[in-house]
Amino acid sequence: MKIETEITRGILIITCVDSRLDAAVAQPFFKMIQNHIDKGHKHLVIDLSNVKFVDSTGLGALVRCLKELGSQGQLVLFGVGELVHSLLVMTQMDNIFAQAKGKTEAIELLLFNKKRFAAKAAGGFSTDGLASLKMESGEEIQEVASGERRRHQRIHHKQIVDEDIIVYCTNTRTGKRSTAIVLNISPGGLLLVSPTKYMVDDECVVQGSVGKNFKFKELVVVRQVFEGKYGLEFMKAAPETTQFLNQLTGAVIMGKGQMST
Amino acid sequence: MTFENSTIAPGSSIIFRIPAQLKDTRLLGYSVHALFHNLGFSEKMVYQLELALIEAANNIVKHAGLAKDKAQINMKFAVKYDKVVCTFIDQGKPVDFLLKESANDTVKYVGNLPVSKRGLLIVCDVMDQVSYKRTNGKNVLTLVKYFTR
Repeated sequence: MKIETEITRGILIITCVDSRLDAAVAQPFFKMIQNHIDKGHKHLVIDLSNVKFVDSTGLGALVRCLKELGSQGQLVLFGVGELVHSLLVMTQMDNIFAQAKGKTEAIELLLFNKKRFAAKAAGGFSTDGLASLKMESGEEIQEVASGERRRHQRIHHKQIVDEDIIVYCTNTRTGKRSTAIVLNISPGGLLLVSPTKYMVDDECVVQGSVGKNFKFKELVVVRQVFEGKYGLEFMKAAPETTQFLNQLTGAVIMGKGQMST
Repeated sequence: MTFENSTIAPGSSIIFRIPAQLKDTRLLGYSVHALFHNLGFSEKMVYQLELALIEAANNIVKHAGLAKDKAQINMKFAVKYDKVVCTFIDQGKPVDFLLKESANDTVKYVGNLPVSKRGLLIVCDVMDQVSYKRTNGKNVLTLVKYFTR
């Protein structure tokens, strides 16, 4: 497997030149990447635009790269074609690998996560840490006014898990996919912070997991936008999602007759 | 799809013999890719069928304990009216392909991810029938794909 490398904004970009990442080349491919990791490159982008065929051994090499990076590094794939993507789906690896549509998006995604890691290493995730993130327009995040009465009680993500809840957000209008951090969540929706800009009434598919056991993929609509924070409402959330969030937040499902006060 | 899309007559067959080495299983891949394409399967299905046969061949190379220099894998590619039957025959040690442990679908965290064992999952996912038997000291692995399913 022939690869080409370049460094852009401190990110190592590895381009696979050959069209196959299979059992014949998986081992040398991994060794080449391992060499780069050993040299201190912990944030990698792999360009698979030229790769038309990946088998399970080739996929295993990518998994080994991911494991080699561990929690200190990141790997983002881009240029994953429809056929190779079908392998990722078949093996349920599509949610394991971060993917971007192009090189620029991949770099932005890595830089965003890199800053998040840095904020975390400097004392844990906080609103202050979020404020240091560079938004698309260069603006800074401010607190959302919380005077509004809510139908659903939101629960802060730190009351659920120790780590940040990261979700993938795909705008159904533009097809753009990006990561976001869940600030709080309720059976009615989510409050996210994202470096990607959304507009009120944008529809998105939000995909992620809460803790180790609960995974969700829901259609949402953007209801509130306030300088990088987005209030999203679930559109016909799956019963499993609603049930889980009801249990999580202690919400009570009331019939119409019971709602009169 | 139906057989009407095919440019290969039912009853046709071809036997491939390749060295039992990982670097050579792609020869089989290139060949069956062309065959499946000419049988009228969609581009995505052609990729997945090629993938399934490559996985089966790689599995034999890795686990049948064949001598590295001399061993060969034989595969018969037979086109029937309603299906394609691919039969792998090797003289390695008995390995029931279907009893091998595969990567299950509950592992979702990078630290626990297996780097291998996805081949069986792919083969069973793509093919309509997968069977193994040991006959006359040979391993016989049969993979079937129907045209209309």
